[in-house]
Amino acid sequence: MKNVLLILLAALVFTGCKQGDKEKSPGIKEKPDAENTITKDGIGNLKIGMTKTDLEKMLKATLSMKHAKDTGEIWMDTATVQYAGMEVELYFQKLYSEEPSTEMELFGLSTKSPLCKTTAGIGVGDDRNAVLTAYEENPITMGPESVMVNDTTWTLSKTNYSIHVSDDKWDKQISFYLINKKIASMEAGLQMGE
Amino acid sequence: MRRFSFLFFLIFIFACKQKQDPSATVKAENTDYLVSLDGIGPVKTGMSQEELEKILGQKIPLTNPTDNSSGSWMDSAVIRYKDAELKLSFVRTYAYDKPDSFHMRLNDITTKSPHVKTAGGIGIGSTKKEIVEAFDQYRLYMAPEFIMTNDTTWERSKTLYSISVREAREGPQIVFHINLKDKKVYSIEVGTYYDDQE
Repeated sequence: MKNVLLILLAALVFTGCKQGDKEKSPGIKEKPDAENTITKDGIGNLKIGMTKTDLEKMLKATLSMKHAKDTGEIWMDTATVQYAGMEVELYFQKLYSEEPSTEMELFGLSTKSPLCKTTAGIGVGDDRNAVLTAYEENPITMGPESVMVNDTTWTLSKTNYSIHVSDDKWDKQISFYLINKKIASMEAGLQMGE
Repeated sequence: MRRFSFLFFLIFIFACKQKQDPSATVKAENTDYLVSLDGIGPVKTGMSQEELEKILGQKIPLTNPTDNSSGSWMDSAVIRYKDAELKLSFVRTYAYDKPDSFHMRLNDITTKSPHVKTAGGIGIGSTKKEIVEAFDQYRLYMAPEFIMTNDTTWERSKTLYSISVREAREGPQIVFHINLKDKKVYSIEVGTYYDDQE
């Protein structure tokens, strides 16, 4: 009886240690549909650089711009659309041209939808390590976000964190916004100076 | 038998605890080798050659500190500081009030010494994950390093990676150089980053 108990305990010790040895497996991620895939160029067929007119034609809908009723010159505006089951926020800026133009161009887009994933399957709910593992060969900039505590003071957030993944073209990037260590939203956008 | 069971139970708990805490690193024992955004131990970036020589009690053997003819702005020297070897890189800094008068100012410090550690215990042999966790409240810039493949071409290395730790986009930084073969820090550099593209 003693021997049986000893063997059992030894097995328990061995199993316990073996479990600790195992790296947390990132798991096999499901590949998202093309329409739900976020890349640095956009989400599905919503691509950075498209004009508002192009987008309306493609979506067969009129975009409701947030500042449509504002008077005066509007250089930037946003609209929210439903696309492939996801709510997507679109960021526009006025197209620069010599001729006066009212055309707006898409320069970024973001979503909080869990349907949206990167090509590696990273999405809302994943953690920082998942992003770092998926983009080992890319330049990454990350850190806590700055939050304004009053009119003149900024401080680093204890809960909000962002990870920006770019490549050597340095033109566009995918950004992951984390709240309490989990991805809460993802964004594709033009890379601008900080 | 009960004693045996209790002993095994203790071993089990201890063994699992050990495995659950792989990032436990040895903290810097004293401030002599402490790495911070300012420097390593008493060797701080921004110090003049004279200041450093006084603090370290030794001459820093720069090869061309007064070389005006070649116009060399930078110079470096490898020194022994206690049990660590440090490479000190200097840059010429001109005085505002005296024409053609300059001193050599410490620009960055590089070491491969295992004695050198951050306050959180990050040093030679630490991993990327340990660095990311230790500097959770800092801005991190990480990427495979660029290597020169020929006179005109640079490309990303498959084996060399670096993580720069800063408080802001520009300013003082600690750079951890990692060899991707064993995924561990092999060199630490303290200096300053300025974006010259602005």
